Amino acid sequence: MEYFIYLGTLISIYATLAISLNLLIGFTGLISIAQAAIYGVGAYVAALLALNATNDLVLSFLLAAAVGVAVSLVIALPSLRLRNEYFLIAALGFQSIIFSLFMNLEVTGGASGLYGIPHPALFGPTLRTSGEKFVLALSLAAICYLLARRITNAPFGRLLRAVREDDTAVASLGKSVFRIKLTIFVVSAVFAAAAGTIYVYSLSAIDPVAFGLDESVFIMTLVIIGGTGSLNGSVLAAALLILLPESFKFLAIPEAIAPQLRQVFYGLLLVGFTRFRRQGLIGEYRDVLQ
Amino acid sequence: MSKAGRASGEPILRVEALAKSFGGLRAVNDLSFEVKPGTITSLIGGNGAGKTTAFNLITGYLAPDAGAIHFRGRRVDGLAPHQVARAGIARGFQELRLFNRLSARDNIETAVPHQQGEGLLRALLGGPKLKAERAATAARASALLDELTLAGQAEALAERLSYGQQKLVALGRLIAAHGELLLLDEPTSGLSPAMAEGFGARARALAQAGKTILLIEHNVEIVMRLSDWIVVMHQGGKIAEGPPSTVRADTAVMHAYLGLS
Repeated sequence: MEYFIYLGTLISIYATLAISLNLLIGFTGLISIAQAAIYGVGAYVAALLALNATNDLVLSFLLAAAVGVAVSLVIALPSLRLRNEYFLIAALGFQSIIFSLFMNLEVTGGASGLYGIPHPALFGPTLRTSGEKFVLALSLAAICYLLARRITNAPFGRLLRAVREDDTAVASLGKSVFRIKLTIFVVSAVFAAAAGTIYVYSLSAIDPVAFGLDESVFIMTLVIIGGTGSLNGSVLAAALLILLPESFKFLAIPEAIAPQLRQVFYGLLLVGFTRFRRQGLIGEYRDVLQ
Repeated sequence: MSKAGRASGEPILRVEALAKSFGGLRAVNDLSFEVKPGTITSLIGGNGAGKTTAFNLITGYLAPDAGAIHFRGRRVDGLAPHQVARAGIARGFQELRLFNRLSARDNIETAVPHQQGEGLLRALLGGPKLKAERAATAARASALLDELTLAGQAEALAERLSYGQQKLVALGRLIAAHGELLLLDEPTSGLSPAMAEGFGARARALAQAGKTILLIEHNVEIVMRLSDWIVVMHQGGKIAEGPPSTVRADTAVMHAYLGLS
């Protein structure tokens, strides 16, 4: 049972991350490869707060989101005016810098990370069991999903899609493309940092490997396979891509090669979907990545 | 409109000694002209004359090397494109630049200015005000789609429409943006003669409704019939201007740039 609760928690966290990145890639056409870095910033902030000051979950969310947004602005402010391919490169550079900070700073515990993180407290009571933490992760995913749906169904969401289609034309209509991109970037960073907070409290320990480029690519894989511009697709992809590789455990695959096999599996899926089903599992658009 | 208005009104747009170079190429060179409110002014000239560059300078997509642009007495050169648009200059593009994977309706609704629901907070809060605004925007778009004979294609993705219909959506978006000055770049290119005529009638109706139009157009007959004033460009500069009759009578201009006798 504990194992399934763990899987449920992971799915919820990755669904939140996929939703956060889909707002950028699928709805706005901003192909960012730095989502794991922002997720990691949220995680480290929550971990440091819990280890040094308080395990209050609300405070953790608020501080993680604030720092996550502040750090994401470091990339957003100079690079959101760039064309897509340059933005992608800037985001890649940002991801690498943040990852090497996680790996090398003393405060982040270097390569070994941080551990012994206390259980979180929500409005007084401490959440100790994995079941409670699963409910927490699931609640966050549900809140992010509902907020994202509200945003994307509103005229603001239509504006995001218009930016994705042609930001020159959007500017000609008197709308500030920079403001629109910045706003959705901030929303995405809040979601990703919140997912980082949940991750820290679920595992009680973190290390930088969880926030490297591989992780960013994995989150992007979820968005592409689920379908760019589809929130339901992001949730579905998170469930499938967590559960399917887990099923390898029940096959007679040697443990030594299981992780590599998982990477091969993700790679094949990514290539297969971009080649044969660009709209993803339930995405509405065929070729956002073009 | 029109010709009387041109004679008496203060200019809505004043372009003064505008210059823009790309490396060694002088794309726009000491260009000056005025556009009077409620009129249709055409910028004509051969390929590479600098017409589209002039449009890009007026709408903020390019910054001039020299010169000034005044719109309703306010200097607008140096403003960002969205600020120029907010000042009241709406621009159409030669290549249309529709939001291809949005419906015709969404293309037009996106253009409606000052929508509270386009802010994040209002989008999140929702409420009856937002509902009412959305209903008003939808009604405005429906009326425009009707007027443009696109009611049947309202929910079709823009990329699925015929070229003529896409041109109409682009025009609808321009009208919905509610600019006082409309800049149209080759609006009849690729259209059948009948559709080009239809465009001419719409442009005239817009001018009669008080809009001012600045037009780049290669269809000489439409230019001559529609325009109140014509500015002829060559190699980035202005070589002639005047009412159609004057420009038509300028045989040098007609021979050199329009291929007419």
